[in-house]
Amino acid sequence: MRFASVLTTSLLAVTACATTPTEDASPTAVYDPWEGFNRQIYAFNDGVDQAVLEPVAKGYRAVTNEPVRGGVSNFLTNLNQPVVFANTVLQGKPGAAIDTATRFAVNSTVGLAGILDVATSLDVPQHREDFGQTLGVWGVPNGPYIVLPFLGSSNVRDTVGFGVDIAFDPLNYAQFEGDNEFLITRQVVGVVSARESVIEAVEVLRDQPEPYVALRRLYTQQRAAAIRDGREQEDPFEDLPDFDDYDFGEEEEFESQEE
Amino acid sequence: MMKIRNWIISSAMLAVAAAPAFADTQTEEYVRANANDVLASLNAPGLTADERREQFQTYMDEFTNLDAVAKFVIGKYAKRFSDEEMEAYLTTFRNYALVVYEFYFNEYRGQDVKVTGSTDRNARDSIVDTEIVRADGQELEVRWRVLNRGGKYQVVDVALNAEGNLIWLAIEQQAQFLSILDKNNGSVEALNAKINSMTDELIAQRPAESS
Repeated sequence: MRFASVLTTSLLAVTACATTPTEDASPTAVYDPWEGFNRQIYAFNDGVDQAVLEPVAKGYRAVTNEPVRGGVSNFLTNLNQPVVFANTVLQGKPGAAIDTATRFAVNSTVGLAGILDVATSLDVPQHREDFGQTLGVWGVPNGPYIVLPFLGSSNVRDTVGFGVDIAFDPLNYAQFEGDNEFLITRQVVGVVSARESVIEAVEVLRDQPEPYVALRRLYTQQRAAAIRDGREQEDPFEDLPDFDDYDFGEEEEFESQEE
Repeated sequence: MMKIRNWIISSAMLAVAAAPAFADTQTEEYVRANANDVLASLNAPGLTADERREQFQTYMDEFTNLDAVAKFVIGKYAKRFSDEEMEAYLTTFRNYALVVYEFYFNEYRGQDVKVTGSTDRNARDSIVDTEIVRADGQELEVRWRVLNRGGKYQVVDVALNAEGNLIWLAIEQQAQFLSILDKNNGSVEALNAKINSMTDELIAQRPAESS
């Protein structure tokens, strides 16, 4: 049943991908043909966030200390390592795959089921990979920007990736007593923990002149950087815009320098 | 003989291509000295909050080209506004920009700005890389885009490096301002109203001792 819903999600996303129009030619523009609809979902998500998520996240921060929140975050991150591992393999990164497998083995055992991040103290680096990134590494373009209800910013490629990552997660197939309750708790705690970690960032976002546009651009740029594994672009200054069109009021000095 | 000549030419070309692109030391020094002055001005002892603000704004006016930034962030509308509209907008933007810079630079006041490198896009356009260590020990990578106009250096944009993603503040602001203008049929009043409301919000958020 669970697999069927995953498959449906993936197929829906793939169908959407098949109708992807071409990307905007501008280097930093985000292709958002469904902007009207996306803005409505964004407003809905923001309403839910302000009414429920933000207060819960702030409450969670108030009743827990940093080590506890760190332990929760470590535990959730560790549960996701099989998905990360699958994606490192698919991206052809054996070093990252070995790191991820090692982290999972060490943290699941010595790290008390992932609560302690022992692997980091042993200098085994953490990798963050998902199937959206894998598709990006394979050269699949973003496709149109999408705001998903409750889930937030995405694009067609990452929505497909999201569905595939659910399908990759062995926990979604594991059968044990209380498995459904465990999965639901994991999702709820995961959302609260993730929201708590961005309390300040969301406040900065809300201070922006146009938060929808700001988030759309930030999401797209951050995903591109994640696909590059956090490396800067080869020539990060190549596409910078020209300021010469915006009158500097010192034409004479400028001309004299050119001579 | 021919082979030797080709080898020399190839080596020379390779050397030129591989040479690191450094902005001249004057540009780097310009950023180092001024960025430090700006951050120091927010921490100047013996001055009242108003005096500190005045000093900060004087440095910012010298360090940056606020009018060029203001025009850049409205993109195509820079040529569409009437003179009166432009004048009103430039004043509104200037007030906002100074409050924003003060608000965010305040977190780094009194900290040391260290130049770590630079790149010339061309003879008049350079990027200077710096690191600023915050009071809490967090290290921030900041890039300054400096234009040389007739021997006068001025900063027109600043980028923060977030996990490999360079976020250029003026470019991001342009995307947002253009969206506001597009939604309001290019109305300068609508944009000014939005900017003023953001300025007021930032002033309201100022710590009590610096208001």
